[in-house]
Amino acid sequence: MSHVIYLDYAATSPVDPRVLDVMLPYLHFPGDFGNPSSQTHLYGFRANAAVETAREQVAACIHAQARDIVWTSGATESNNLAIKGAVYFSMQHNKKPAHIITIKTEHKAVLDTCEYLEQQGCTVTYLTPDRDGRVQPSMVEQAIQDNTVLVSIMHGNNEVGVLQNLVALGAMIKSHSILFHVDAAQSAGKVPIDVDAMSIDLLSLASHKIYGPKGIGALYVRHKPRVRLVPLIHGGGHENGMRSGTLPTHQIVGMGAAYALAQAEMMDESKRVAALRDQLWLGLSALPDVYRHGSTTHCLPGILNVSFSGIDSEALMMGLPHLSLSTGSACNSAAILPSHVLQALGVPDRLIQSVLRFSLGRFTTEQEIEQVIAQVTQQVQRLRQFSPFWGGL
Amino acid sequence: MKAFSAAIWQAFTQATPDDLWPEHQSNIVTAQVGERGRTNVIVLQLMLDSAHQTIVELRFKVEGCGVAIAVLHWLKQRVQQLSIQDAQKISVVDIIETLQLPPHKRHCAIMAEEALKTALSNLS
Repeated sequence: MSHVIYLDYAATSPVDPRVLDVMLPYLHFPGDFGNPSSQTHLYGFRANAAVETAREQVAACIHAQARDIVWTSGATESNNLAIKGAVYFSMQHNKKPAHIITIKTEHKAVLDTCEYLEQQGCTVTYLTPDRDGRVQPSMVEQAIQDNTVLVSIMHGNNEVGVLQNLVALGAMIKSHSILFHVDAAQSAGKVPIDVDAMSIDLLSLASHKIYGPKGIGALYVRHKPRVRLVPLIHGGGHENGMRSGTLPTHQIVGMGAAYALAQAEMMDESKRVAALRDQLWLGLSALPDVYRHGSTTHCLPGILNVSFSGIDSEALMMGLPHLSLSTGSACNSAAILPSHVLQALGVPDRLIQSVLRFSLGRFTTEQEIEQVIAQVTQQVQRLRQFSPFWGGL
Repeated sequence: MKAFSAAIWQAFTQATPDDLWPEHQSNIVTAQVGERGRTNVIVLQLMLDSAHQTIVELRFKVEGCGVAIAVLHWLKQRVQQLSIQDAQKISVVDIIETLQLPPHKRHCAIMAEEALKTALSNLS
């Protein structure tokens, strides 16, 4: 099979071989495969110790205390637990419907959760970001109501890579004594996060976006002042009653190792990946009528979202069988379904239809980027000739 | 984008862009279907023989997905030197079955057939 260049790191990343090496002994005899909750024998003790080490590794990456980390199955579950858990607790104690503030460019894990809570009687304000994809504290402040319980804002956007100013947002939200939840699935381990400096109460974390295994994630839940959540999964009272279920030691150890590596290598890696992204944009922008979306100054190092005017992105992907990419729209029926993120940024439909998302990562090389520029340029030039609107019509 | 049949990949890979003919010629008929930004847009032209009985060549432009390009390329090959009468018989089912279009891409065949039938109806 020909070499396929992987540029879909924002969807998922491969497990780093160093992480895999750490995980394997937790799966089999004579390793530490025991149930971390078994506190009657050595296998359980050792598994528990490994889980607690991983908890410290993940906490260290966001400047938190280990006791504030709750293991989940991934960032989607973390987002559900944070938002539903906080809202249900508020509704149980205040006996009135809660109000939530979020932004239109959130991941579906947040938007669908908010929509579900609307069906339960809650109200939600969906803020429109500016054209760069950012929201200002004043925009959030104006949306606050008497019954606002939670503000949920993602750190790094999964489609365009824009980063929000969490320090300013967190300070404003804290001044109103409202909970601040952040979905950091894309940003954790790639750019610095400090839950205290950013006044974050709840933070969703993924493992598989940062070279750890799939199927494991975490939720940071602030202890001081204590954030109270209603659990969504019952059955054993694991994780201080917030998330029951036998802990997958090998997955947790893998996530811990991935976060430790990410923290140690963050500065060098983000600089290297950002340089590759800039090299890619420099090459692609030599074509006429290409447009980059999202802030170019406040952005994740590895994401580049580009429209190639006059082309359908699915056609372009078919013309690039040796590249692994994502599109911003899907032609799944007679109608074209555009990206809700790009719509919120005010990108015209015809440009959303022609979007490719390039997401680079730890194993991307300069040579691969050169090949990507050459292949994309050749296909864009070919496919534009099919368009009835290209060339002045 | 889901996995497609070998027939679709072959047609997409072999497709080459056409230059459209000037419209105001007696042996050229043109049809345009679709709405830009909402659906595929197809511009399809047929060149007829002097007796207006046989299709000499089909040319197209399309703003759409790769499957739409593949379908139109297949149609271009299919109608070459075909009588008008036989071209009228080409159906969505022919396109879907020959190229093994998955359900979520059948609209590409429907729009291609619509473009062909519209062009043929413009003959009269």
